[in-house]
Amino acid sequence: MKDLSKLFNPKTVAIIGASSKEKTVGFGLVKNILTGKDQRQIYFVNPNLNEIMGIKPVAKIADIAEEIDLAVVAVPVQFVSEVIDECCAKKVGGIIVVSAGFSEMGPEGKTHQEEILAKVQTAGIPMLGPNCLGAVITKNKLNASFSPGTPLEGKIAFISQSGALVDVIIDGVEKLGVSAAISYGNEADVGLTDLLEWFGQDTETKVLALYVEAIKDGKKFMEVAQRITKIKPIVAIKAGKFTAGAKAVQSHTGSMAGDYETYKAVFKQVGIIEAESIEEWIDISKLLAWQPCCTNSFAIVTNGGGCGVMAADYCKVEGINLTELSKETIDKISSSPNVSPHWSKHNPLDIVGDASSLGYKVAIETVLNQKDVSGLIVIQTPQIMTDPDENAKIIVELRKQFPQKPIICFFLGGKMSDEAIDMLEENHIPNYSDLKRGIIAIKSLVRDKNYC
Amino acid sequence: MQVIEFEEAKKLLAEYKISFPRTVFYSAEKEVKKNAGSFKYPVFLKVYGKDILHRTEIGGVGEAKDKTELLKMFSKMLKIKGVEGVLVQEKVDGKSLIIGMKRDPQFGPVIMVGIGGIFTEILKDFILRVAPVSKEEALNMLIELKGYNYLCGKRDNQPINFEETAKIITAISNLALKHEEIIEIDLNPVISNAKKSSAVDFKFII
Repeated sequence: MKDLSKLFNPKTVAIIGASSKEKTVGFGLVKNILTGKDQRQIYFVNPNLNEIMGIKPVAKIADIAEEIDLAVVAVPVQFVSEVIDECCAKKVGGIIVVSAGFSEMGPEGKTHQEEILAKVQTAGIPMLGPNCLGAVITKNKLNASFSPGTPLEGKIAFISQSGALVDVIIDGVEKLGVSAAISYGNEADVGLTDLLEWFGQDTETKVLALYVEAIKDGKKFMEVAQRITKIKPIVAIKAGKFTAGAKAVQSHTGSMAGDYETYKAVFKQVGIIEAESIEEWIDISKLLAWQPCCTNSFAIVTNGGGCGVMAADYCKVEGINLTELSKETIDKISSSPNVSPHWSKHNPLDIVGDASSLGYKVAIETVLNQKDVSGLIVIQTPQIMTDPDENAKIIVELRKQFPQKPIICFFLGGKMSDEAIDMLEENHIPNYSDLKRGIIAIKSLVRDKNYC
Repeated sequence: MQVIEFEEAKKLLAEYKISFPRTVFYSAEKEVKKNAGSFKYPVFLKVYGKDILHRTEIGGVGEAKDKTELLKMFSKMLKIKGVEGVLVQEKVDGKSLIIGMKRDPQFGPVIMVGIGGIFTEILKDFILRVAPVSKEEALNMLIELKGYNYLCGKRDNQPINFEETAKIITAISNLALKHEEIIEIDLNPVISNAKKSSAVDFKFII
């Protein structure tokens, strides 16, 4: 495994190509790296400026007396080679090349990339990129990227070939939090497989979320992924499913086993969960990061019969089993003065429209006490007598009492439940605005007994 | 891209213990006349030529119910452009599958098994696995097919031989891992009945 500690936990950083001009890559890097200024010594390198955000830049990395752990390179492509030479001479601990204009631009760029790769490999320095957004490691308060903001701490490592998609995650799902957000660009040196190995062992990371277009060194990838999925889930989204010019093939097998079909088979074979959309990718990652996995035996508590039936339908389609209620459970709920005598008496537990928060409490607590219920779906429709905030509070409390049993909420409707949903999600109980979306995600939570 | 010659392909199949129905290659009429009595009828006729990839389209496939029909069809097929000879093969009964391999530049040999016959490409009921594929995995591939119940003979009480079919899948996986020069394989169809599974037609591309 490559040692990436200098890349991801540097004590000293130099931003080469730092800028004071807003809306530039060089300024984005400056602004972001300063969010961790209490954690490390930061240097800016730019021969043309006297001051950047109150700090005096040096002309060359060689002008810095201290050892440099991480050098971030964001100079125009024609200067990259020279800067890499300087970084190698300085014996930096790791390099992130943000600059574009390499293998993604055709043969000439590819030659240029091979040139800088040879330099860093000879020097034994790990290099991320070129053509990447950079790296964010929340626990280390490191934002060595030009992302639009700095995400909160969380349990998901987003590892993406595309930098723009990392931007989407950072900007779009602030509350979700990440352990890391890495765009690896052209993966000349440090590649997807190295990152998988690193974050597979990272104690802060519970889920690995990948965006891939093409995978290099497929055999190694399979070997590493197979090992990691045994200890933590990998959720992948694959783009570039349909190659423009399908290659000439001479067999039926060749025509049927296209590139995407092969990727699908690979994912399945090594235990990677494939997401079909960005939304699904986040839905699944969030659930896996926040809730424990469980065996396939769920219950549904709802105050709306129709929604309960719909949820049961989706469960059937996705292969999620709904457990039969025990006599004990039925008797206990029926004997409660807080639950309407018209409740369904089977799973889904429809505690009917006028369900009070106490009614929810009785139903949820009783059903979670049933041994063979391994996870719970709570649906709330906003009716005139519904108290979303109180319901959320009850769910948060009960979740603590049953730490091994995941709870997934569907507080449906709109603004009436906004604050309640915030409360749920702050306590890492995921809420989905649509039954189908959430139930697809729940499928990825279900595991064999020995895995949980 | 080139198709491996028939005799060579046959040797590969034998080496990996993949059985196929009795098949003899004839390039001259008098040889067929001499041996026509030795076949169990009906038999299939299939033209062979180094540059022929799709023989159905040129009328290069047929079924003969007896000796007379065999001789008649043989002389007609020999006249097709590019034909170097004709394969005569005893017919076997059972369900059609397709077993194949495609070498992926990143992942290596990808092994396929699918429901065969005329619906292969329309129904697209097939499963892929990256090699190596053990016999147990091969059985799982068969179980994962949408047409698994059909293969079990749920309606017609004519199940395929799963063991023998899985053995062929594993054999193709082993063969592909050893012979890196082969880029695609089609065993199409593989005919399987309760007793055995055999590769009725095969194509190895290098």
